[in-house]
Amino acid sequence: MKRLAVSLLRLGDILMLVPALQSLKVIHPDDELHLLINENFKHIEPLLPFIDKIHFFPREVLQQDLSDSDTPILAAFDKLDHFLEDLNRNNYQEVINFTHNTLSACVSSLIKADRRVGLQVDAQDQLMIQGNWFQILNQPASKMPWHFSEVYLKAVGEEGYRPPIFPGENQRAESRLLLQPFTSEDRKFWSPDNWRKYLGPILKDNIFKQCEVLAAPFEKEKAERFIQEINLQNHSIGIYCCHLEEALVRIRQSQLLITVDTSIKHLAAGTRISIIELALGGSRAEHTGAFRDNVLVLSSPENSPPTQGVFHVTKGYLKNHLLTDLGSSASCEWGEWRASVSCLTDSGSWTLVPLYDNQKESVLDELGNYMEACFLQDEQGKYLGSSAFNCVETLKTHLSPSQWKDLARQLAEKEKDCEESLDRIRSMRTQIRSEISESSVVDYSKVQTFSKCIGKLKRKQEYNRRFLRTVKLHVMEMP
Amino acid sequence: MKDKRKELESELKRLNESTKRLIQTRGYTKEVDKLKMLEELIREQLGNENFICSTSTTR
Repeated sequence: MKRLAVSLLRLGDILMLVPALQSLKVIHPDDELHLLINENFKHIEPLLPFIDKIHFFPREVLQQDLSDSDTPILAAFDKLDHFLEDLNRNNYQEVINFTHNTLSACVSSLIKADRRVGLQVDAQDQLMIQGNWFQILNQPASKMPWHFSEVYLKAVGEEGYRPPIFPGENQRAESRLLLQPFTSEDRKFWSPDNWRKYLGPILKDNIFKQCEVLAAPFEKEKAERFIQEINLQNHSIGIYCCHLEEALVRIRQSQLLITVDTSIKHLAAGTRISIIELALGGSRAEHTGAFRDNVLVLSSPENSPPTQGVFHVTKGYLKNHLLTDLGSSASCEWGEWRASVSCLTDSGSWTLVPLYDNQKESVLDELGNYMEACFLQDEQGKYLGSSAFNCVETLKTHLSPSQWKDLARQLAEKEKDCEESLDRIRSMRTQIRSEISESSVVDYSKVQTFSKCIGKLKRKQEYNRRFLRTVKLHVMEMP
Repeated sequence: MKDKRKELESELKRLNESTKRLIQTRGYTKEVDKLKMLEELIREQLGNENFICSTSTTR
């Protein structure tokens, strides 16, 4: 069987599709998988060796012809005709349109295939959506509780967790901080002045031997200007100008990437590098964040980036590889930012777990909060362990080594509860999956309710896991 | 920038008229689909491309 996947948006969207494309190859190993992307992203080809053939849509050429009044309209028409003729020689059995816009629907509908999935144009010239998972993409952004990669994965029938895998080996990371400050959208750009305020404390701590700005070759001058404007005395910032493939190698060789909303974060999601994502302007990290566990996402409460109250991530926090335990992050200040961390479970559920509301609270108060979260009411309204509240009180006032050990012992007993809550998450996911996959009409209010429950359970499970780890670490450090 | 926009709008109008004429003379054929796709390519340049909202009419 020959299958064509269509992705006609930008580079980041293609990279977000990688887990689903990998799944298609795993689920249908004998089928041929082709991909249609815009010609200006031709350079992504080496990163997708598992795709049998990549076709390039001549979008820019067609647009140039159409916008040039001296070129006859038929020139664009002929080029499109030739392109479609070539593509249709492949005799596809299935076309999956992963792009949710009108142009891609028009293109997909012009490709001959026995079966079509995703947004299409029907015989009455009306847009229609084939496949329940693709219906979800048509929901307003505020009501869409899924990451795009997650929707794509479910749409191709993937049951579990599949992070993107890019070619090449994970190398030993050097002490290097990578910055990706450039984005194609001005509203997602953070000024050099703000970068200076933020980078100053990090570089002052001398955690990283090197700091580099990652830039595409055409951004070289922009990067030079950026570094001049940052003007950090006593600290040199280098420029690493490279193509996408080299960027992947550089990311693998570095310890931390601080990035705005660009394709680079999706590339980094396929590596082990620690990531801090600055979700500015119209960035919707809940839908398009780096599809990986443990990414720190800092978004601004308003749509514009905060200009004051710059966040400060401590040395201890970074040294612990960002989020190995919440205890070390309690001393971080997030300023006006909203901080969350991504959580990707084994069942393939991705969510952003909010960190702190009150950033000035002491470590003990933070632990107290997690303790409460640990023993939240279960679905029947019963407390999972009411005696734990006594421990919370003790924790807040006084904490002796023996109490820590006692607490750790009690928590170890509660680990089973964590596992049970994880099982509940899995069963709810299965329920939603069958709801969406099997029914012809999807009841979205039901899906919304499910999603809220799942969000709550996932947060609880995550709090439990992290809290247990934190307490255990404290106990181990006791004299 | 304004000139470019005007140019695109006039091209879109021209293409639209060609599509209508083709529908009147030959009916709704594959050629019409192709012209409609080209219209969409121009509309995108006019700033109408949006991942979430571009298909709002189907809701």
